[in-house]
Amino acid sequence: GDPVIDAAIQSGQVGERIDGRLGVVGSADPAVVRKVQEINNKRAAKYAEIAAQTGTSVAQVARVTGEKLISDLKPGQYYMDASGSWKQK
Amino acid sequence: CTPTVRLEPSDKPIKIDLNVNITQEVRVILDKEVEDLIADNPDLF
Amino acid sequence: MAAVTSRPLTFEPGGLQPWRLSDRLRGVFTDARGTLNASARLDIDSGKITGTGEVAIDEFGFQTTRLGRVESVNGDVAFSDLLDLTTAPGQTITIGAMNPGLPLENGKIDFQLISGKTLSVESAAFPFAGGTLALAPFKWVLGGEDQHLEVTADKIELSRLVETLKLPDTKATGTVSGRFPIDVKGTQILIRDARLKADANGGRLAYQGEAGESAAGADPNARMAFEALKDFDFTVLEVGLDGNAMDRITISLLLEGVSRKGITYGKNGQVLMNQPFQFDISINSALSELFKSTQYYTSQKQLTDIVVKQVQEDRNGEPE
Repeated sequence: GDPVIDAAIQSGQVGERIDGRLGVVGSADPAVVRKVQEINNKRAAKYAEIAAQTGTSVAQVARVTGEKLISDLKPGQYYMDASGSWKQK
Repeated sequence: CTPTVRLEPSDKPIKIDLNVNITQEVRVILDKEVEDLIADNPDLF
Repeated sequence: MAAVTSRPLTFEPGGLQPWRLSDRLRGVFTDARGTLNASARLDIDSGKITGTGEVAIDEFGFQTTRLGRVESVNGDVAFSDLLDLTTAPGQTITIGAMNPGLPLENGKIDFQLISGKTLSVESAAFPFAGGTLALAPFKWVLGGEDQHLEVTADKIELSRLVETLKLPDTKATGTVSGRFPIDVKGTQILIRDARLKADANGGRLAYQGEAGESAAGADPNARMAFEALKDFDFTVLEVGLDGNAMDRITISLLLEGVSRKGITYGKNGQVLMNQPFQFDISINSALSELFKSTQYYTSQKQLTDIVVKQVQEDRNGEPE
């Protein structure tokens, strides 16, 4: 993954969300926030590509991806589930 | 067959609610696609 | 006064990208493509640098999270305070295409950018299905999570809407208009119970399909409803939209009309002629279902369940 983001994940500043986006867990340094936004934009492009190929919606692709990413998280890493609150694996 | 009795139409419209729900089980379709997406883009996932 | 005219900046994925100019732009214009031609006038007096400038935008495109890929942005933007990334009010750009859940093309936006952070949109309008979708003025904090918008749909042509939504075996005429709120929350674009009313001359809709045949099944109500629906001329009273444009949405149609041919009705099969009907049809599905190419309709295993219920029975007091 991206070094800036990997470090932010290890330090609990950033986590995976069920809607397939990276999220800032509390507050984070502006450079990290911008990096998160950039990665979410790039992910959105990939979700749109797969949605078009499979006749599904961007939200459906993003959701299935989010679920898979969260299931693969290591213990201690943060994620946001459908309730919308941050939790730790 | 049952006798068909012609009825004078009532002026009040017959009201009908018609609800169509289209759901689509996407997990099956997307499972492999998403696995490849994550594997092929380490910089994003 | 030092005039600085930079050579055109041509962005392409893998090449020059906005974040190389300033990290402040990272995450705002991702995977940018196209050309910006900037000219600036910098002034240094009593140690303070101020600058104004113009940026000519030529076929500029970039990727976002909520609007999909924004394509073919064009326009000349005047910065009243270049270093603060603040423009004069009333700047205008045109947008070739973007997709906040439904594909929008050839839009025009009048705006002011304030301190590179807040986009004060004075007007925003896109042609859609023969009519226009326009946004009331609003302030958008770039990178903000939530935003409330007011949308005005003006003279949306039913014939074009039927075409856009690929409704099979359906012919329609007339236009609908209305105002409705949209709440943007994260990646959700929530349309809050939009009600588009048929304009003065009303709308017509005729459905010749067989969709009801299999769905009607044993239920007498369903059979009657679909018999009434078939080869039937309606006045369209209202088109409704409610739900998440990026995912599932409910489209509703309030129709009123008179059955031309005989409708068999009730347990003992009375035949009604010229009986007025009012239909409240609601279709709940992923919005993308309606915009995708028809080739997917057949190949997808879709669960379509149709619930028909007659709202109230007041046939001159006869119990159903």
